[in-house]
Amino acid sequence: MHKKINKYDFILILTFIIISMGFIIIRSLNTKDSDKVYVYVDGKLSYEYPLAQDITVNIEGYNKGSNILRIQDGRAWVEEASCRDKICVHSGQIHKSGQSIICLPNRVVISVSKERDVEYDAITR
Amino acid sequence: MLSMMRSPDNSIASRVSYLALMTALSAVLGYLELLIPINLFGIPGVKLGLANIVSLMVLYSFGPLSACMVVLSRVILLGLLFGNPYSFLFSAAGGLMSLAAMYVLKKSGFFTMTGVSAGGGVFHNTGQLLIALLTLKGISFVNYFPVLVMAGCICGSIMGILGGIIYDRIDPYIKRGII
Repeated sequence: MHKKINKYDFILILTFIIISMGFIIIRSLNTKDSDKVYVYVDGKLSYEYPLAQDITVNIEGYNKGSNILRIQDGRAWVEEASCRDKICVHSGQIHKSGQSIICLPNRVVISVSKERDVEYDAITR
Repeated sequence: MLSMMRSPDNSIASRVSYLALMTALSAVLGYLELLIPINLFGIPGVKLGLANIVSLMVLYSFGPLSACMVVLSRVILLGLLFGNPYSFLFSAAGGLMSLAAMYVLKKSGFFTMTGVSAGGGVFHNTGQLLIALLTLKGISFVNYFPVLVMAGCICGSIMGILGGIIYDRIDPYIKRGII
């Protein structure tokens, strides 16, 4: 029988938790309300909508998949999807900068951000 | 009774059959996992890592090369049966990153199976996130990274403890060539 857990394990696990906490703090400091919804299909920016406007649209994804995107009261969510797992539907509503809804089977990424932020793929602060 | 009397058997044939057994086991666990949906802030691909118990055990009982073969066979098997090219890419990246991390942590000699598995879980998720960043646009790294690290760490630790318990019971039999 070997030991199940030792102090180095604890140090490692603690390090991981501290790293993720650090990222969560950085994220919460940088969160601002966003005003645009960007829809990427198969890695390309395909549609953009203002978050202030209430609409319901059908997004045609990769391989004829479809996601129904709804924007209302400054929030965006996926109402219906053609895929099996419906993770995008269960993702809930997004409105804060940097949040996104991902539908892997249809290769659709819906993200919200401030209009000028979108030039960059990632921002290192 | 005959098998009970067998001497330690390290032949290729016995190794291959054990690894095949382990591959089948991890494929079944991997499939079971698909049936348990976990929704963590809408991040696709977060799962328990049950199949990782098997990778961990193979890594400890048979070494890194065998573990690598078992992981690859599982990924290919599950990819062909239930997945698409895309999910195949994700699980291959996750599985191999996790195995590499576990091998390094085990080699360092500081950690028990729990720590090794926790690291494996974190790197599994990091590998998947890297593939997501490479293939999909519009994903913010800082949004997903902390949640994935946390989930990988917690699930990995639990699977490591479970793996340790199972390893203690099974490894003596594997070493003696009985089962």
